[in-house]
Amino acid sequence: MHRILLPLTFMLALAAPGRAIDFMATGEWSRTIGAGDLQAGAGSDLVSTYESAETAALLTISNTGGALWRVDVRRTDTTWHGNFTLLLRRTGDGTGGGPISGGTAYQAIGETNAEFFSGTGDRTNIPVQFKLAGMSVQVPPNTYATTITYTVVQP
Amino acid sequence: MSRHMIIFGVLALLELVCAGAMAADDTVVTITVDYIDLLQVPATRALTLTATTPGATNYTQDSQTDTDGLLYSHNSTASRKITAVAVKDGGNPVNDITLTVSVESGAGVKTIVNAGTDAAGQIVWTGIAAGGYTKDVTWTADGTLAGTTAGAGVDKDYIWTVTFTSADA
Repeated sequence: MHRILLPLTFMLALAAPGRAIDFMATGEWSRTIGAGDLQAGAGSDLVSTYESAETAALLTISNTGGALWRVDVRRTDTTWHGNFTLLLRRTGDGTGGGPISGGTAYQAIGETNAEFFSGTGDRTNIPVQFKLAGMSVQVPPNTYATTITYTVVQP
Repeated sequence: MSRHMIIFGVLALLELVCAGAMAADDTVVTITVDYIDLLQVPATRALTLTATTPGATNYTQDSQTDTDGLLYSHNSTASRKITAVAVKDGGNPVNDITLTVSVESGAGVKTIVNAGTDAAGQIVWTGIAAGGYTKDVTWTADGTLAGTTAGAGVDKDYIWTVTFTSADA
């Protein structure tokens, strides 16, 4: 009995999907908005939307052991304005062998986790772009900051 | 052997518990909104005083409107006001010209030159909330033939520089 149970337990341990996936996000997006962003100079309102570079953030998922994973996203505001909507999208697949899907259309980032994209296996440098909507001269001068948290989960 | 079994069992359990394990990292997004206070008015405005009625003692008032002449954008939390002040040119002869200015939906008609004398700064629009605005500016000029003379057989220019300034209301 022991001769059967011991190898079985060992195999179970190896086959278990719960590997310690490594995840890294690099990059940031900073944008200063001023009089130069007025739609038509004095008398006009500010341009309402702004986009970051297509590679503002790069996400790397490793040590997956070829497993399926999903990236969720949420934001935690430091100082934010109620008129703002922050969106993000995946602008590329990064590098890696497994499939990757979803997240290529802009989606609003809320304060609770929502699925961003999913894939299988290791992926490096998945590019992410941000878009800010809702800017106007009604937004008082200030520095507004929010932290975007990506969480990789094994579904 | 049973001790080994227990150890491996615990390991297996740990791995299974770790199924759905998470890893997370962050990106910070920072938006800096600068203070905006941008005011634009026409560079020049000419008014002409003429008298066409024989025996008239006063010039016929001239009135000119700069349609969409005042452009203003600000994003301050405080309401703003705009003040106009006229400063006569050093070459102006003595005159009795009265110059007024008004801003569409503003503070009404304001005299910025009174019988040839520069008035103190006049608030032409106040209580301006954050926003972008386009307003007409209307000017009038009056004077008397005796008090504001032309040259000998030629027209004469009287010049003022009118400065519009925005500030917290």
